[in-house]
This record gives sequence, structure tokens and C-alpha cells, in this order.
Amino acid sequence: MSQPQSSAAIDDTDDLHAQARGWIAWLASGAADEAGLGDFERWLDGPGHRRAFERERQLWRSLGPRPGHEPERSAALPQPRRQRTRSRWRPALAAAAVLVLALASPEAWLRLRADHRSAHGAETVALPDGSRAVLDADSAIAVHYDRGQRRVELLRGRVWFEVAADPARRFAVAAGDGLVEDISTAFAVADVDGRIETAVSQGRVRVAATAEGGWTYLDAGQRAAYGPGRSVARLDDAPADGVGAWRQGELLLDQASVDAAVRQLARYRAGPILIRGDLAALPKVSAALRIARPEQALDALAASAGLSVTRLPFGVAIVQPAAPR
Amino acid sequence: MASASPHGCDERDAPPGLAELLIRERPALLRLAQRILGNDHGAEDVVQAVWLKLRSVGDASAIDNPRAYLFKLAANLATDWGRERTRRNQLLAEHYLWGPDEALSAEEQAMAQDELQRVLAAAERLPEPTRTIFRLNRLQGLTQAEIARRLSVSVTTVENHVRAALQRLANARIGR
Repeated sequence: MSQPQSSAAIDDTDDLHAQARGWIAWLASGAADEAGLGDFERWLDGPGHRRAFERERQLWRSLGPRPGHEPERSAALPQPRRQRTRSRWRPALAAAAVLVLALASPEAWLRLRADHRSAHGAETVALPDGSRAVLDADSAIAVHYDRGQRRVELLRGRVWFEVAADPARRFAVAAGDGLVEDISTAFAVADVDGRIETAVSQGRVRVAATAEGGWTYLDAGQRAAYGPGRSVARLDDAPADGVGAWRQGELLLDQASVDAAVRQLARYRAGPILIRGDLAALPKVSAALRIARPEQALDALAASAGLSVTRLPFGVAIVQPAAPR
Repeated sequence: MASASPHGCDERDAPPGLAELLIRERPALLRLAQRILGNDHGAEDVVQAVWLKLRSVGDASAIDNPRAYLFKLAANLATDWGRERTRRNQLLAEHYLWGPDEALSAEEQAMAQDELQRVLAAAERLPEPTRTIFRLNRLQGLTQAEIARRLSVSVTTVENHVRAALQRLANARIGR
């Protein structure tokens, strides 16, 4: 392709942008396959191609929000049968559509409810009473304080709390179906796929699997977990200074499955990590990774777990077992 | 190799029988996986996964028809594999469309106000059926195949209209 100084420059640029639009239409077509993605990635590597693509992508994005890509769900909505009833159906349909939106997009739902949210790194939040909450990557909380109580709702991820003393108002974290209440202390609460894990770094907390109570008391270094319909179970103790290690930018893996390790690390990267092949057969790993540098951490994990990492543009990383066939 | 006859009882003894059967049937299993996956190199992975699964079969004598079992297993794994691959490709495509922007500076990322206004106005003025097709694809997120079915036209027609719409919007952006 000729350089953009020649007299044919405008035509060439036009052509490049037309190609970029062609790729955008293809990416949005719902028919993307492996071979095509490979072609696209090679095209993107060409001189000036990336820039042309970005410009046309901007055009594509400027037209409105990203679609919820859930057409099947809306098709499943009750449809008015007869013309006569249509006007009466409309408000109900609108309400149903809102509901479908909430179901279809947990992301949007979370955004509506969260008071504090972290993206790809830990974030410290000062709560109104002087307590501190440190949100791990991809975590969210909602804060409900009133005169009688200090209640924080864990919406996603994991959060470490350092609670300011206030004898008049109890400090409670609502997570899953249960509660974690502070007695005097610093502790972490994590939602791991619906299982709520609590670990105490200082002082004492109590944990209940339901709002009705049934308390389990935990001291520094102690851990417990509960899940939907499951009572509180004590876990192995952890060194108290290891609780919330991620606050110092460490991801500690202790005999973790490779799959879980990769997914945990994925929270700290801006681009997605795609897993190719079966990681279940790989031996478990133990490691301490620096999460402030997620790329190096990913390479370190890959080296110790026997994975190969392929990096693509836009932060995409593909991880697969490195074992030769 | 002490190979067992397909109807003999030797291979019912233990998983080693299954392993031998896998070695013998490997080419046929590969073809099966290729057919399901649409002739892709993923077929090798599927056969590999079949082998991994066989290792966890403790008591092969519980399997009445090992050959049928093997082919059923391969078909299931290939189907899962294909589904997973489709989902992964879709995720990747969406990320390329919607993922973070690294090539442009923060200032360049926002489209100029006048450009945006011209583009939005042009989107409203798109001729039919380009306008409907483009709306279904871009704003409602329907796939081109779904739009083609809904409007009873070919996927190529849908694709052409989406490209035409983008061409018009790009022209409007630079005031052409």
C-alpha cells in the first residue's frame, strides 16, 4: 500500500476506512469465527490500520449505548394477541422490559445500586463514620447508614474493612443472604461465586448465614464461609497479617486450581483473559503475585502452572495449557 | 499388541481395553469431531479430551458397548467444544468492538460535537430498509442472521445494508 504523501493518498485513506468499516460490520454480525478473527488481527497489524479502525469504531460507538445483546429474551415477553388489548398491555410490557433489562444485564443493575465501585485495581474508600473500606479489583458496595446502624452491602467481589469505634451504632456487612457484624476490628468479606468468605485480621467479628442470626464468632486469623442455604462453616485459619494481602498489591494463591488462579488474576487486567483448552488436568499452584503489574503476574503464573499466553491487541490474552501433544 | 476383538470380552476387563479401542478408532473419532466442529483443528483437542475422560473411568466393565460409548463421548465433547468456541469468538469480537481504546488519546476519543450531530441526523435520514436493518443490528444487537430471518432476506443483503449505512454515516461525519 502506498504512503499517504502521494496524490492517491485520499483514495487510499478512504479505502482503508472502508475496510475498517467492513471489519466493524463483520464483528457486529454475530458470525465471527476463528479464521476471520485471525484475518482481522493480521489486518489490524498493517500500517495505519489500527488508527483507521479506531476512528471507524468511534463512529460505530457514537450512535448509542452498547446493545444488551439479549434479543431472545425480549422475544419471550408476553405479546399482546389482539389489537383491542394492546393499549392495556403497554404499561405491563414496559415494566416487564425493565425487569428483563435487570435480568439481562447484571452489570447495569450493579451500576444502579453501587455507591462505590472499583475497576482493575484496589481502591480505598473513606466511609462517613471514619471507617475505611478497601475494595479489591472489580468489587462494589452500597452504603446504608442511618442514626441506628451502619450497614454496608457487599454487591460484588471482596472488601476489607477497618471499622471506627462507635458503641451506639453497630457496623454490619450484608453479603449474600447473611450478615457479618463487627465487634472491634478489621476484617475482609469476599463473595466468591455466591459463597461468602470472611477473614479477620484484627479483633473480633460475628457471622450469620441468614438475617435471623445464629452467630459464629471469629477472632484474628480465623476464617469462615457460608452460602445460599448453607450454615456458617469454619475454614482453616490464616495468618492474621495475610488477611487482605491484596490490599498491599499481593495475590496469594495457596494450592489453587489453575483455572481459579487465572480467573482471579483476570480481575486485575483491563482486557479479558480467554481460556482455551482444559486447565482442570493441571496440578494446583501456590504463588504470590504482584497485582499492580498484572502482565508480569500473568507470565509468572503461566510459567509456574505450565501455561502459554498469547497476547492480542486491545489487551486480549489467550491462555492455554503449554503441554506439547 | 494384544488387540481385542470388538465383540470379545477382553476389553471389558479394564480401561486399558478402552485405551486400545481409542487408538484403533482414533481416525474415525477425528472425522466425527471434524464434522461437528466444521473441519477445524480443534478436533485433535477433542480426541485428547476423550482420552482424558477415559482415564477417569474406573470400571470399564460397567460400559455395555464401549465403542458406542466412545463415539457418544466424542460427539458430546465436540459439541461442547464447538459451543465454547462460538461463545469465545463472540466475546472476542465484542471486545474488539467495545473494548478499551489504546491507540487514541483521551481527547481524540470523544467525537467532536458537530460531527456527532451530523452523524445522528444522518442515521435518522437513512433510507429504508437500510435504516431498519441498521437499527436492529446496532441498537438492538440482533445478529445479521436473525435480521435476515426476521425480514425474510438473505444474510448478504443484511450485510450490504449495514455497510451502506456505515458508509453514509462516515460521509456525514466529514460533511460530505
